[in-house]
Amino acid sequence: MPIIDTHVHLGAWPTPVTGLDVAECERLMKQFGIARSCVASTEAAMGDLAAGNQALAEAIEGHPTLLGYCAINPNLLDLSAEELARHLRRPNFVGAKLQAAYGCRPLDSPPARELVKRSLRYDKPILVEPRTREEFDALNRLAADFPTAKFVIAAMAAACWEEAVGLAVARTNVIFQCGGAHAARDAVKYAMDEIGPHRVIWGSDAPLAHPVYALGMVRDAELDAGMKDRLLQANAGRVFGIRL
Amino acid sequence: MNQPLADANTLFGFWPSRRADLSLSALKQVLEQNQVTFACTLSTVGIFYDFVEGNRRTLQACADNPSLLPVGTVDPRRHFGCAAEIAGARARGLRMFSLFPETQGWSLGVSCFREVAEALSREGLPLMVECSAPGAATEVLRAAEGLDLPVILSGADHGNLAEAMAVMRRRPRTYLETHALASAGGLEAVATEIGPDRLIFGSRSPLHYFSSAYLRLKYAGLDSQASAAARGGNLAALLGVGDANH
Repeated sequence: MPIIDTHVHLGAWPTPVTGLDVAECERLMKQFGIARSCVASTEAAMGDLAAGNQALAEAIEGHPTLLGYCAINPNLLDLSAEELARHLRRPNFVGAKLQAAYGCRPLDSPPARELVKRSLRYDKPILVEPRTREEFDALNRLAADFPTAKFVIAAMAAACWEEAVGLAVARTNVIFQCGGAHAARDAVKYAMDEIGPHRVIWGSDAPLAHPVYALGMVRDAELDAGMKDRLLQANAGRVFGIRL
Repeated sequence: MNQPLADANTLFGFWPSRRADLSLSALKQVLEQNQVTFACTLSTVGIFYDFVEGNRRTLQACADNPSLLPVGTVDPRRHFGCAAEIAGARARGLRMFSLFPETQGWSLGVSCFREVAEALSREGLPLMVECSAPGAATEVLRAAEGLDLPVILSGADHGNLAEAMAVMRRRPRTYLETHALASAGGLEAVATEIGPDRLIFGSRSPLHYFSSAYLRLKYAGLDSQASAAARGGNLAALLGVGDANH
């Protein structure tokens, strides 16, 4: 079964992590049976927003297995709005990545709300990374106020995965992404059971988590073949409009 | 033929904030499914409730299951009774001690931790300690200074891996347990920069998914000798069990 990885970073890291470029990303995809990867720029997240997004767009051009996230930062409202307009029109950009924490703005701050509002016309999901009670509360309000937007909670929200599951249960426009570096043994099956089998997707968070580390969670999750298919491919295909 | 596999970091019992089945039978099932030759384990009663009772349950479980090696624990927050629990622990059958400062909420900078380290050094037992927070590995380095004590750092990932490697470079008898080494390149960096003889496979099963840690090591691209060392050879040598075939 070809896999869709909904969370990958291209670029350098400030820690001892092997940053991925297109070639290394494609090598890992081939090795582990990943047909499509949704990739975001680390430079856009941690450095120059526009330069990072542009470099990502150029890097994935001509690589149909790679699909882009447009990074946006509520601290840079006007620029982020321009970035949305520039990149989310591209057919190979499948969503936005809201960098609320790096921007030191709450997820439901006025500029973050404005960016969500402006993203609605593109009808593409927004990847978010809540990690605290305040951020979950903010995402809850955001999801309630923008019911037609789709929010993907990245990497199970790490150690806060139970809060993330609870929010996805409460809000039907919130999607839970399994994967990342927090391999809590009860998380994946619990998420599928509680949220239901259609709003849980898989994303490695590579290179912070090696794809095989995140695939190990699915291997051990005691899911039947149909559930694994939904988790690893079908749900992401529907959420992001990816056809294999 | 698969190389023998040993798991340095398993547990059984309960975890107050989690629903996962951490029973002894669940642990044994994970180990059997994955053909683990031997595993170090402890009762979580010793982490959350009473380390004397926890160590008793650990020894009892391991007596009934020869592929499980008993790991002791103490809680420096109690302080009184820690040294007494460590004295004679080897004779009682405990093979190592594991400490949980992050789970229990105490600082590695407290002098009680140094006293535990000294007691373990006198007893000739290795120490494994949670080290996922920035600064934790450096605190361990300070607390174990001058002691003849093998130390296994557990829980390091990309965020503090550079610090853990710096500590390992300065202190030769320091090892890194692998369950949290999720990132691309992290495990390989330790093998290349520090040496594969300092890597010790651990899964933290059944609290964590076994396959995440296992597959990460399997696909790390280590050569056969390095892989065998990380999969169990280093742990076997450290615990004096001969080899990973136990």
